[in-house]
Amino acid sequence: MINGNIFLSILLLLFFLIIPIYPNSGSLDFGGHVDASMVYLIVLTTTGVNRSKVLLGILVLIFYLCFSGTYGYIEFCVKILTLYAFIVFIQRFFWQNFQNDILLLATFFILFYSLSFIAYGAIFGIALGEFLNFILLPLIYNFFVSTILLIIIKYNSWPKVKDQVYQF
Amino acid sequence: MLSKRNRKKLFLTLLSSALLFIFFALNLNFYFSSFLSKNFSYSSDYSSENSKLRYMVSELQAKVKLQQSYIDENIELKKRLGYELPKNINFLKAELVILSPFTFTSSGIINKGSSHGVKSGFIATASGKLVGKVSSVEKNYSEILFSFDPNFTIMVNIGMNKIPGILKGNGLSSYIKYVTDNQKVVVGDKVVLSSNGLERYPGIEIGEISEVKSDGGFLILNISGLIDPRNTKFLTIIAND
Repeated sequence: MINGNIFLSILLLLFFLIIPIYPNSGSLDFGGHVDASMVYLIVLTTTGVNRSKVLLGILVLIFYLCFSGTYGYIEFCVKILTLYAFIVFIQRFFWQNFQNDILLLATFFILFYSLSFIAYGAIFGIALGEFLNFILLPLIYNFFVSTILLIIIKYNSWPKVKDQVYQF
Repeated sequence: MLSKRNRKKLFLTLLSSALLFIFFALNLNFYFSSFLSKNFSYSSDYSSENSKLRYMVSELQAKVKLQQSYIDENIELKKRLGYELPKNINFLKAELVILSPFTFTSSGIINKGSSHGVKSGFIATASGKLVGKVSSVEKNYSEILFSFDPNFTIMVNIGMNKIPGILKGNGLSSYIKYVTDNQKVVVGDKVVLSSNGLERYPGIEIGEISEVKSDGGFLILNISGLIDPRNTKFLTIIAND
């Protein structure tokens, strides 16, 4: 039974990993504005950081990097940097509180888009207005999808009830 | 004897009743027929669904006829104007099958490759608008560089005077470079693919000039009307062998 559950979990994980690469697949994308890798990184880190989760996050990034061409390396590096900063931030200040988790999400996105702007501005000379115009919709969609997934995964889990032993 | 107030009330009631009566009398046939058809005519869900579908079919047939008339008109106009599409130009239908979910991704994979006649450098359009360019080709699939990819470049002509320029991506959007600032380019000028370039594409309109900036003796022209490739699914590849 346990093996079956593990097998199903791995299968589900693979589906969630692979489906977003198909355009209009209806998994996480809303008109191609949701960055599935960001959403997965957020969900993995905000539900508690450990080595296997970080490794999984990096594998997700590498998998999506395979389909994103030469300039995907810039985004990959920015995401690794953001992930590192975020893990340090979470390990120092981790709160089991919904409001603070939303703040964490906002911090993560602001950090990622700020680093992206610095990288793209330095390499391609992108203006701030142009950058904001490009990221506005992805930012909104990513934030809302991450929040919804976080609520579903972290705050709507099955109630943990300890087994009680009765003595008659 | 009725008081003045009651007489007024009675008069107003009679007047409104008369108006209502006239209104219903004039529309009686309509209400009656509607009532009859609703309640006493034979109908079932199946037949109503069937009639709906029949109506849709007849509507679609009318649309097809209209489209056909447009095609005929277009062919006739081309004949009259003596316009001929170069014989080396072909249109291939393709589907964007894989797209990385990264935010700044600027390339995708289509389901047509060298076995379908696709070659590197072919242009991809969707709904008549520029999507990108084929960058690498395998047997059954190819990679497309979107118009905002930093490696994307294509020669274009601007406006009525066909001022040449190069459309280039900068990672987030596309702009036209290498137009000297002594050229007269204004906002709203049409941008078409250049047929004088190495690739010899037909003059397809790809957008309009939305902003003109001057920088070191050259103009930097922003272009509007380009399609967002991340929302596209079906593409037309313009093959020019």
